[in-house]
Amino acid sequence: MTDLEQLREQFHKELADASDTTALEEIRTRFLGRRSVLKEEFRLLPQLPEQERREYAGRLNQLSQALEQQIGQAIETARRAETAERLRDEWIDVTLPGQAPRRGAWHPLTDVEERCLAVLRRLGFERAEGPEVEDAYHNFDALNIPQHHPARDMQDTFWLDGGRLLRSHTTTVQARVLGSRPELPVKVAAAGRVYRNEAVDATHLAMFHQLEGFWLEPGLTLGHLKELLSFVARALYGEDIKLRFKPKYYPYTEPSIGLDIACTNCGGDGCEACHRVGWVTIIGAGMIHPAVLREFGYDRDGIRGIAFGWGTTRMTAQLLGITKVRPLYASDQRQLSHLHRGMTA
Amino acid sequence: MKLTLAGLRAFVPGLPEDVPALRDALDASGLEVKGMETDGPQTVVTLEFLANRGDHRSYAGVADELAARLGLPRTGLPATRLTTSAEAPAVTVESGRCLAYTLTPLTVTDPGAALPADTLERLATAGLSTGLTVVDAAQAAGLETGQPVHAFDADLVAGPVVVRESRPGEAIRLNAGEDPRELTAGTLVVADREKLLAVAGVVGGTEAAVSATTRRVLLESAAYDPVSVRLAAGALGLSTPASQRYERGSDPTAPLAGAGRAVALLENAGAAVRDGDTAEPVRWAGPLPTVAIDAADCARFLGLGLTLDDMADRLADYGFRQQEPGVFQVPGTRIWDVKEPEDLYEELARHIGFDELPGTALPAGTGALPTRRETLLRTIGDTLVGLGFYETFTEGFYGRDTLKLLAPAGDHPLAPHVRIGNAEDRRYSMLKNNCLAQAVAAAAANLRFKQDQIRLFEATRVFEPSPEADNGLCHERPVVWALALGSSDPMRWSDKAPEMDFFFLRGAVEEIALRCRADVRFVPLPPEHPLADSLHPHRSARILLGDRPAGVLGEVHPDVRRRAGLGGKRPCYLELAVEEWEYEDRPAVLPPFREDPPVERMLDFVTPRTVTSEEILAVMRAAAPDWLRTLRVVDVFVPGKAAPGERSITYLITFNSEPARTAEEINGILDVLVAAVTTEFGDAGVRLR
Repeated sequence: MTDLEQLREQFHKELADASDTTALEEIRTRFLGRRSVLKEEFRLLPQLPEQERREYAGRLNQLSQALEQQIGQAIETARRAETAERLRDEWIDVTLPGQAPRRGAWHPLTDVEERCLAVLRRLGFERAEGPEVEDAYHNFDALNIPQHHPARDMQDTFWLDGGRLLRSHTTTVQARVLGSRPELPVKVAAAGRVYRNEAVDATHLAMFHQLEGFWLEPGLTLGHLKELLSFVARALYGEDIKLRFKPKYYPYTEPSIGLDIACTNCGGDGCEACHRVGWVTIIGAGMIHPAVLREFGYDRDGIRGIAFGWGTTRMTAQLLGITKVRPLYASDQRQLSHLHRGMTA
Repeated sequence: MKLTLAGLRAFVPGLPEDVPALRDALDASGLEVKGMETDGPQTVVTLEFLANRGDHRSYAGVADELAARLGLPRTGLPATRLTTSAEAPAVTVESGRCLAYTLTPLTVTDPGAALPADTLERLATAGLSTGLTVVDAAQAAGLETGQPVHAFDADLVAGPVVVRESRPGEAIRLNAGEDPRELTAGTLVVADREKLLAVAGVVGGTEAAVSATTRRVLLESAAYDPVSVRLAAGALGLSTPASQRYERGSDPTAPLAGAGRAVALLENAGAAVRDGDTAEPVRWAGPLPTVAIDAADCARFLGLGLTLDDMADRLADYGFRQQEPGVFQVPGTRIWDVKEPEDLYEELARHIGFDELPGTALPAGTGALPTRRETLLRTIGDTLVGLGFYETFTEGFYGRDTLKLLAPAGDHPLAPHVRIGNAEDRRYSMLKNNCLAQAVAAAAANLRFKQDQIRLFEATRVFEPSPEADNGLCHERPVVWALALGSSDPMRWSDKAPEMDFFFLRGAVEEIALRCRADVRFVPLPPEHPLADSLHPHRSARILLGDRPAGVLGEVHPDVRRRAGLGGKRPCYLELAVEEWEYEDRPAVLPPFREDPPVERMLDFVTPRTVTSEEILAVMRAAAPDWLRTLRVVDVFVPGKAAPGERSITYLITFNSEPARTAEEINGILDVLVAAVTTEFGDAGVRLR
């Protein structure tokens, strides 16, 4: 039989000298492993007389458990210390910027357009498209803007070969859709580029974006138009926005109305953004003119139409709080990124 | 147009003192207030008029609107009642486009006499003062009543006055010291025996103009066909107060009254006296038109329980007189814009106030879904945005400078363009038939801004000239283009990310195809493609969906880069033909997912440029057993001394692990694959590495 006390002392001595988990694991193996002195003593137990074997087995178990506990604690302590040291070595400067690939962005104009279309979809308006190269019939004549009509002044037009032109408004889509004589009711939204032959500067563009909706159904009234416009304005600008309606003139609607909202910048007090008026016109609208209905054979059965539209370029500028719209079309990625942050702020 | 508040009060004495209330009334009347310089009685208001309301363009017109809106009495200014007779100056009218004409002779008694202060104030505010009393009186009459009045120096008029259409080659001097302006033949003019006195309704000539020495005057007041005036003014590039009024339709019953106001101003000021009766060779033939309304329909339209009597009372405030129940005579000031029942509904709505009209609950209905095209574009865009691209907008046109970046020769497919005939700016001389030029220009602009990490895309249209097109001019083809330049991961600072190249954009297309559930392939770009000359001939590809061409991508050609001043930067360009793409919104039908971990093997072939990776993959797929799971490229290595184009491609091959296969069986399959590839391409130089 081995002197167990001596073994214990030897263990404590080596434990005290060990400085890391490797040394401690080696001590554990030597004192408690399968080929350790202790394990050998356990294997020899059957050879001892009964009484002695019991007493010695008790002492062996006690010692084994004690050593196991002590070495376990020592290893855990050492592991923690080593882990802490390793983690200290793995220090990073968390103030350095992140490295995940960044998303780009839709153009703010598209964001605004999509927001508007989403509102109109809730009301049942489905999008239709039309060509940008148009003819005078769909751009003017079918919309009650005959040759030499003053309204043609408002829309200086890019003329192409063969009497074609670049559409000066998205109302052409109304003419195209109605020209296909669809079954009623018709609820259509159109959005896209339009062109005006203007000298370009910071606030004037030769190409910009519009959005428009129209609705044909028997029995529509001015009240429906007002309700629809109020819904659209509140959906886009907030439930509490202050509204007013005023007379306007568009050749293809009668009556024509404009929807003003209290300037979102000054709340209606008057500021630079609203030219000290306090109101900003956001939507032009009206009941589709009888001449337009006649043109497409809808002057029957009490059919009336509602039409409305707005410049999404202008609306985007309003929402972004910018007065110069030219940068919206500059393809300057710095600006696009900057505007995107403005839209998502 | 600028008007004084004091000037308006002369017509509507009861106007509110409260400026905001007045402003609201103007806005509610369709007289948009663009500015207000508040200064007590000197307050000036700047109005923008509706394009169809010529009658608004005067103090009387604005006053009529305000009086009706506010329910206030309307007063007038003194006017002389003119008498017409055959003893009047000789005038003939030879054109039906002159609807009414009067000419009143005057003798100037005191050329320096002053007009009333309030009239002078109105003129000054509108910027119409000339300092010549006769001319100012004529201008003032127009400004106050809305009926343009013009004065000729009678001593400079030779013989009888005639209103006629101009003859070929006829010209009129409009400004002293300038050459006469030749008129388009058929322009309505006022002439004497020798010369043209005025372009009717637009502007007077200098040769019979009133001056400080004028002693006898012919005061003209007329009405003309609006289109006639509009064409004449447009041809001369002029816009005068008279032409603005006439173009929108003047009151053909008002010429005598307008002249009467000018005469009253001059007579009351002691500046001039009538020198005989007024000539009126043409009086408007009338009668004033009528418009019938259905009172019940009108009430429904407005959402109010108005009776016909209510309607008649309100319409009377705007000068519409009920002739018989529901039939209203249109006043002369409105005959050009009130023709339909809805026009009268609009009058009633304005009288009541659009804000006061009730809303009507919208009928319940179902919402709408995005169209397939919208969904497709949203899918493509979302994919590109996710890959770091920013959407941009370029214009639908460009000029020669932009097209020069591609330098298409005369017979090149990109040479023909749809031309813009009347562009204000040369940069807009033609509709774009490609997007590459603008994309490269955008890259160059960004580089000038020191922005060298560029990822832009746009959904737009190109206009391809074709007489076979539906519109006889051009096909309007929707495309999505994207341009990438710079680091593939510009936010990375810990190590250098590779530059975006052909394969970056190809990856973008593959991702788009995945999201659209489309099978996409890439083949070398054929030289006949319109963009082939502008892209790198060996780093460009046509995109195929099945066998349909559906786009193009490639590195921008060095010549294009040089023309754009891109230096050593090598942008890559992608263009998708939107009409060829579809978004498939049904879930893809996939083979069952296998949970058994795959058995992986690799094969590495050294391959010459004459054999593509796609061809090797196709041979291996054909030779593989049906328990092949995947086959893909995991590495491409270009040996140091390789022949040009030679590369070593490593393929990762995975097999199903269940049912279990022996290593020998799997290795046997690899031998089959190698044999298939080397048999097919061994002669071309493909070998196992």
